[in-house]
Amino acid sequence: MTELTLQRAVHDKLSIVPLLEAGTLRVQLLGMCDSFAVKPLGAYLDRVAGELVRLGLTCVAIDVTKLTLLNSSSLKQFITFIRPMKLGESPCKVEFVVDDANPWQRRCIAALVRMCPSAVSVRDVNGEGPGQNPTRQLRRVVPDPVPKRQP
Amino acid sequence: MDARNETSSGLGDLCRCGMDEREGRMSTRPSQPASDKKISLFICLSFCPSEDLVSAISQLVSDFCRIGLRDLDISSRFHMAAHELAENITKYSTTSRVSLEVELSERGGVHMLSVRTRNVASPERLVEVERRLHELKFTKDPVELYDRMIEESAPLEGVSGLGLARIRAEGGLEFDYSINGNELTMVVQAPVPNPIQSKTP
Repeated sequence: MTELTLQRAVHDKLSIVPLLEAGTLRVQLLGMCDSFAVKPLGAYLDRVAGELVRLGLTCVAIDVTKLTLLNSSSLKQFITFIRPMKLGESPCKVEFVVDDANPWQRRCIAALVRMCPSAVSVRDVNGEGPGQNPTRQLRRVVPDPVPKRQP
Repeated sequence: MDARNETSSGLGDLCRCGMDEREGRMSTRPSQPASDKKISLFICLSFCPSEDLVSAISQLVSDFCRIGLRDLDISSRFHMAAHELAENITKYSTTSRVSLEVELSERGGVHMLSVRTRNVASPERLVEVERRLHELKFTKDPVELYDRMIEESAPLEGVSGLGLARIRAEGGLEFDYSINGNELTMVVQAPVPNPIQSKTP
């Protein structure tokens, strides 16, 4: 009962790679989550939830560092995945691993952290902890390009 | 007068042109630039709505931002916005032609990048979408609205309905729309760094 039954999956431009290491389930997403990825992603996350129960794990790391896009319908699949945790129906926690060199990843996941801060966290793959306030970062606007007046 | 016949646009000339005069055309400049606005780039993609094209189109917008502006942050915001908008017009168009335009302009020293989409939708869809668009355009707190929409959509199955709210909240982009008859025009835009200055290493 300690072996992973989840398998690597490829759907159009999305690849999903599961890994069980040191008692932690890690699921890496590579490529693009566009409209073609929505249903396969949702189905895979269902299997992840089942695998967590089967293995008696309470934490999963979702690695999105190699993801180039996550559309809103795919984001919705994560919302569905996290909802039982928010409702207290699941004891699991989710840690999203992002690469802050791609700022959209933390901005995108910030909505999930705000949805369920007790169960969802985000960290940079290069080691930066979850100290940054995702809400503050989200509110940052595009820099104003108005040139400074010359004295 | 039908309330949906002409919804005014706060972005003025950005929403003025109709689908008919654009249909099937790929242009290098807009037909009605404002007199004090200088257009440095204008791309119009007019295409048959297809899910297969959405990623390619949003990637084109992203590549343009990345190469032309040399700004990864702005590039990623517009990549997401262009993808959500392209998915929307593909999903909800009732005709075989939609358009997506990218414009880089300068007015009064401010450089603006905008993405504009046009599609014809069913009257029923327009009634529903206008309520959402109005709320989205005038909200004082896009993040709060986005979070609320996530809460509301969480128990629902099917379409997320989060794309446009995400553009405002996560993308931090300005948003506007107009409805003329059955044609919906949506515009997202943001100030961007001077493209010339951004070329310096």
